[in-house]
Amino acid sequence: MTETVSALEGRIRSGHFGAAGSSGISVSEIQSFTLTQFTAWADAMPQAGTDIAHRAGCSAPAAPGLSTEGIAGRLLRVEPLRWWLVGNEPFAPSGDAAGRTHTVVDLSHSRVLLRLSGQSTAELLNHYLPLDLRNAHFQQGHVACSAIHHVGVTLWRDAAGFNLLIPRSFAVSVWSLLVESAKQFGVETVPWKYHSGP
Amino acid sequence: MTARRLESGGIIDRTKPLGFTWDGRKLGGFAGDTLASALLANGEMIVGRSFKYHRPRGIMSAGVEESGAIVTIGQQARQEPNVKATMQELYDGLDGWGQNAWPSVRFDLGAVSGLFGRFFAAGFYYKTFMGLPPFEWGKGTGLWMKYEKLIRRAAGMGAASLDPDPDIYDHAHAFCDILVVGAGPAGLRAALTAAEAGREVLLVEQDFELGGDLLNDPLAEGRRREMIEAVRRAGVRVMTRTTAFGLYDHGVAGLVERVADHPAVPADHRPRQRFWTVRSEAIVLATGALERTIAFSQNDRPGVMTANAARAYLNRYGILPGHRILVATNNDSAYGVAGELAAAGAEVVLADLRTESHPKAPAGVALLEGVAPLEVIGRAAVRGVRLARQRGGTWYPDESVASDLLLVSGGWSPVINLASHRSAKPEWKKELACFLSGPMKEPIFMAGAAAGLLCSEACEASGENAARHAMGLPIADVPLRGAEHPILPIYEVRLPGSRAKAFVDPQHDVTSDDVRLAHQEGFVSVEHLKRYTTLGMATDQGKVGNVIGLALMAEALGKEIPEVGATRFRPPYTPVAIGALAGRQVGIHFKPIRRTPLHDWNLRQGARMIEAGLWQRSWYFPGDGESCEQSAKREAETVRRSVGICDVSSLGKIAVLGPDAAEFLDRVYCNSFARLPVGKARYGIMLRDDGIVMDDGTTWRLSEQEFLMTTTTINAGKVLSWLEELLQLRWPELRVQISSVTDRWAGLSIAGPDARAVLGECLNNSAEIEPEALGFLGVKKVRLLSCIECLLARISFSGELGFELYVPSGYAEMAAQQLWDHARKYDGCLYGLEALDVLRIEKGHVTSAELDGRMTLDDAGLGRMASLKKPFIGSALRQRPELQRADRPRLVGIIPKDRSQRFNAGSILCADGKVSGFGEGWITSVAFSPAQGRWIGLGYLAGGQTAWQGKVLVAADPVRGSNVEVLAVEPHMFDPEGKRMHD
Repeated sequence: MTETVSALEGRIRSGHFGAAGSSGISVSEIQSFTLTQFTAWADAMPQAGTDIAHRAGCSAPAAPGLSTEGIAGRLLRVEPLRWWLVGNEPFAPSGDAAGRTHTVVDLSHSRVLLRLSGQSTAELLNHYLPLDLRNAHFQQGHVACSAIHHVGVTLWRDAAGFNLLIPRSFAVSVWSLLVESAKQFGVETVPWKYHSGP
Repeated sequence: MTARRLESGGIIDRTKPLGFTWDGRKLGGFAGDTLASALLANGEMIVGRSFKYHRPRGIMSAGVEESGAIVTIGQQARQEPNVKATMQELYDGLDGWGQNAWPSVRFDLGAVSGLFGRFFAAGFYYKTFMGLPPFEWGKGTGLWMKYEKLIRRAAGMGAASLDPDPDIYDHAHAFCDILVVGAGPAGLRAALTAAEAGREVLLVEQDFELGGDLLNDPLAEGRRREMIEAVRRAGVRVMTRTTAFGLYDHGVAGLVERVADHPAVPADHRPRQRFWTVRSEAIVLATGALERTIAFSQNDRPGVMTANAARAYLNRYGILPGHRILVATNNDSAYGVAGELAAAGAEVVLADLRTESHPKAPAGVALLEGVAPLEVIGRAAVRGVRLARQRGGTWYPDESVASDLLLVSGGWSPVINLASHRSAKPEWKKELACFLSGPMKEPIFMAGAAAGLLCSEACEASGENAARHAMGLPIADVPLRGAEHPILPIYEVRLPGSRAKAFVDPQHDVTSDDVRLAHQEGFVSVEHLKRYTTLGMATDQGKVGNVIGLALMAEALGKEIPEVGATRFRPPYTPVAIGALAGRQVGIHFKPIRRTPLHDWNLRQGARMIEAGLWQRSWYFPGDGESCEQSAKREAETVRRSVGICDVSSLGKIAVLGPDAAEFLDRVYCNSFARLPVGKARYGIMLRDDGIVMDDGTTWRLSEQEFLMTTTTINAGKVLSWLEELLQLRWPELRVQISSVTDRWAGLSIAGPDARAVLGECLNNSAEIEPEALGFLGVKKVRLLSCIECLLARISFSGELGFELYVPSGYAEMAAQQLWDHARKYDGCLYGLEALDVLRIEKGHVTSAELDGRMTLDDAGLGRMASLKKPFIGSALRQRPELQRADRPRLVGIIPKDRSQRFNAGSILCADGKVSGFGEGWITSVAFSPAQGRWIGLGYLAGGQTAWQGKVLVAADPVRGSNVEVLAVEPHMFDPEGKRMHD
């Protein structure tokens, strides 16, 4: 099978960078994920949510600002009428692009996915994101759409830390800003990791 | 002033000596010193020169209100002017010097300007801008243009480095339940109260030590340490060296954290400063109060400072700032420092304006009643003070007192600046002779000295109250209490008819006479007073002179201070470095850069890149020694002869889905899409409401309810927003959804006579692209040899047989390499934006250079595309008479009359012999056409090509200095029938 080429190809060197000592932040790229967008027709709610949850293998559709883990991947509610499924299958779900209750758009390849963890991660992200990332306010499962350096990004938190979807064309620019900023905390970068299942 | 460091005392760390340089001389201090305290300890008296009169200035305070010790520190790229020495933490290796002086602050040739001081009074600039009276009355500003440069060199406040800033600056966001500004007794107590109640508290303090006024009281040191420990234990997030410079809507505060202003060079990867945006539920302002001075003759001499500053130097830094000290006051607060200075060994005389009610003189202090300072004796230093006594509202000279230090306490001004940022109106409190913040509509609460309380116990109580208020809890009443004996307000001491200089705002050399002059010239509003005199402007922001200025204006108007009103304080409270405002958005990160999925691949093939909006696009692929022009010529020739491959990934791509998608497109585009068959693409143009062309591109019908719209690179975002607006606001009834898929697909253009052959060799089934299977404007899904599914359209921008292949971005390099491997067999090439431009100009195809937001369909020669059978956005207003005029500019091709000549884009097109004004049109695009063997261009010309048939025009380029004779021709200058792309 043909391998994809990441937008960050050749730009992630493995190792510890910046401030000496233990790394406050670890950053790795998650590759080989699929990204599928489901958008409900407003007049078809809540059936659309049920249908979308069914496609993602979730018991129920995630509420706005939240995500749920399903058999097909993590379902993020990115807008009131819109969900993104970050899938772990090699190909995005197929089917009619425009269905009775919702539409489907394959957005795979359009985003770069970073996973950030470590004790200083929220502080680093708050160098760019005007989001309240305190543990009590942005818990596991929470999702937010925001911007880093004017670039729209999608953030969610899970047991492994923070996950950040960045538009592919801006990925190098955002990556370099994040890593440069992270050096003051000490940062460990890992070339890439394949997306593991739920 | 003969200051010296005492053998003991203070909270400096005497075990950590620090070396620093002042005006090229090596001096020493201790950890915990400020630059000001270290200079004082070393006996440095003159540390600056005033910005207008070049008067010698010494240290006047111990805090942010400093108006004298404004200095420059750092060398070369790290040189920073206008640093207040009183706020600059001393560090080993600090290099500082006095500014605005030559050769030095001790002997400054610029001081000669003081001789002409009477000519530089308030309004000097305004008057001379209008012409120097009386020589230029009514004649303009000729002289000003000459001496402006001299004045700008002589005046000013320091000089910034011209080198690039080597430091980094961060932006950051923080959130808390309660933000407490100021860590004096009130702030510490407020933070502790809120934290102990379970709130997340952020406590910010501009100093590098917590404690506020407790730092100046040796008896309170134990209490200070105890409170700090309690605050830390309670989990309060404490930020020292951090100034809250502004308050904004909804609990937002702007902070600047000086992360690394105390070492010479920031540690690796550490920013010099952080610019914080803090969002809080409630705010407690425990920002303290600033001690006021009094206006009297020569009150800016080195050796004059506020009484509380002397207290700080004595008790915090272990410095006795003088030996024969006169303390002039009108309130109780100076009594304590007078006693402490006497106890430390100084001869102290206390001059209290009050005669009836005041505290007892402290031990060892001589008390003079009913007198105030009239004039400082001495030029470079205080040698004595002449006093005055007031009788019946008039001042009379009194005795003189020999002294080397004059301490002044004219009352206290609570720091209400931040509250003022939120539109809280200052309210005058007569019993305290100061402004307090008026009521606020937001959850912002004043505490401590900022609320008019002047003793530690009351400050603590008010801090607790403010915190409880912020948490919505019931509060106990804390009576507004000043000192035991009431203040006797005094703002100026001046003999009748005196012309002596008495400074109201020393930082700007604004005198009491300037205030009176402003009044005399009709500037009676405080807002006008401020602007006419510059009182309280720039870095001072009214900290020192506002109240005195208002009092003098009130006196001149015969009013009370509250009747005159007060100016509003504006952010920033203290200066913010421009670097901190910029953050990391500098250099390569000035704006985000977009890279196509083929960016690295293009570079590996030798591409030179060019910016196109935020995108980096391949510009040209030079062979050995080729220039851009040579390379583009070769690439364009190759495309016309065999085949070329171009990265077109930056084109905007929008998925349009839903049962009403075709209807939606029909309304958006000027031409019809409703009947576009599945598997076909169509070139479409969309207009704005006003009938002007917005954007163009091809839209592909992938299924009955699924379209892929492409836009120009530059307008992709704008078009997406526009479509969203239409769907959400105008046509919510349409069942259509749109999404940007620009980043999902890499776009590859394969163009040229051999394009089909090259592409076919890369596909699983080459028969799919034979002419009968994929006609002109046909669209289909195809699979590469690697089985990757792609979208393919047979469209052409170059005018050649052409295809656009959209590949999932992650597979772009693989697809490009396959195509390139096969194209090389046909002697093909990679081509960039420059060659693309050549090809499209030859074909007369428009881009954003031609569709610049002013042109109509008819202007661009595209009027025939507009449907007459349906309405569409802009269809009504494009019929406006103005847009139908026959003499509007129309798209034309341009060729030189002499084919060897070259002309430039941007040139004005003028009738022969009439090169003037805006001409008859302009040239939008120019390229050397290999097909025609000459320079060609596109442009707009009044009336179009037919109106200028056979007439010579001049392409006038006054900026680059050339006039070239040209002719207007049809814009389609190559294969006008389009045979090549239809084959």
